[in-house]
Amino acid sequence: MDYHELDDSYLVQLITRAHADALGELYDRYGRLVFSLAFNIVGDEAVAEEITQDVFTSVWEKAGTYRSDQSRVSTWLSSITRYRSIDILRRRGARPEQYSVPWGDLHAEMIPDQISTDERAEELILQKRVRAALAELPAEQRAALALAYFRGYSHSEIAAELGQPLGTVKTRIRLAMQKLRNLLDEEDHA
Amino acid sequence: MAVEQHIIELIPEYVLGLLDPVESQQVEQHLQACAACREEEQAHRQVVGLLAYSAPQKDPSSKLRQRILQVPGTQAIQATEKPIPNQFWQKLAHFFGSPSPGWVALTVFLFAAWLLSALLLGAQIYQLRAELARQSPLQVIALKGTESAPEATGVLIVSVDGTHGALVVDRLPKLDEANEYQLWLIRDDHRESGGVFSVGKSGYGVLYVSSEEPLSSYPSFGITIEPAGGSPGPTGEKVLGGDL
Repeated sequence: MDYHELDDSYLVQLITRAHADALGELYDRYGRLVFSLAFNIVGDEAVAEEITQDVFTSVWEKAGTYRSDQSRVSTWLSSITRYRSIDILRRRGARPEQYSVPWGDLHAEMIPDQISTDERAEELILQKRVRAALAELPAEQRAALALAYFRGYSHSEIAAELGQPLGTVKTRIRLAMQKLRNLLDEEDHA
Repeated sequence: MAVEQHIIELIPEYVLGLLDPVESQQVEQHLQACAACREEEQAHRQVVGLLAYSAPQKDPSSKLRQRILQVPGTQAIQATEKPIPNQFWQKLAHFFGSPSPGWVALTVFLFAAWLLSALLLGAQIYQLRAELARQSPLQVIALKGTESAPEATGVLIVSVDGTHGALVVDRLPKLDEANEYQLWLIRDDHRESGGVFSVGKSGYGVLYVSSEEPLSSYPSFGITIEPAGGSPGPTGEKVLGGDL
């Protein structure tokens, strides 16, 4: 069977039937995404690799819980990754003094306009789409959302970090998410 | 209405995990009863999922893949896919490593007895199938998955007069919108289209089939992946096939 040709959902179905090669193919597609997300949350390569291993082991054991009618496989994987990473961050009580969110300089990111038949083409296109949508947000909305997304901060922690009133923080996050939803949804239907 | 609005406002924070347990529970309860809010929730989850792509990408170490595929669970399952015949043949080879004349004679006798019983059983099955074919007003042709879709299975049920049929398939991979499956009615070098169809996420699909010539006049049937709308002749990979 050529696993490379199968769609993500079908790979997950095969994993439920214990096809180890399907897990290998899923890792080839999303291992980098999972590792990168974990690394950007916990800031430590070794821990990010542990999380990545944990996520794919969990996929192997619980592939039957995936609902293809509710989300894409990539969304499912990134959701598991984010929750695991934030959980580790909280349990370790890690609060990096030198705070840096990955969206600091969206325009400086070098993403090629011309993408060939590179196997990373789809990943690069998605990166470009999402970073372009983020670039349209006001900087203060982006900062509040980054703290929620990458650090798992509560409203009050974000308010303290940014020195803003709690209500302002809530509004910024809601507006940011709503705008991203519209921007990314528009592109989906374009 | 006011309550629904309130819930919709909370959905972005709910999917980000920012709500306290009481608020989260309220949202969950509301989502169970409100399809519109569930749709909104899924859209926001999609956004949160896409945000993973916003982080600078970084390659893990090359050994991580191997480590993941070697965790106890995956290793055990990989092992169960092939080793049983291996162990059997290894044991058999070991058994025949130094056979005594008595064992050889016994083995030859047992093999001859097994061969005879298999032939008798085969003849009985053939007679039963012929009997069933005489009794059944419908013809049922089993379709088997090819190497491209080994999990796939299907049947083509042909009407009494052979002019109509129903194709039922299962466990076929769901295709993207640009492609569809196409049924081919095969006679010698000729391939007649029996129609195009798609399958859902479960891999299950049904196609009503009709042909100018009786379906029962075609000795073989095949299903290939073709561009949406179908092709004049098969161009894509064959995924299922069977003979009358």
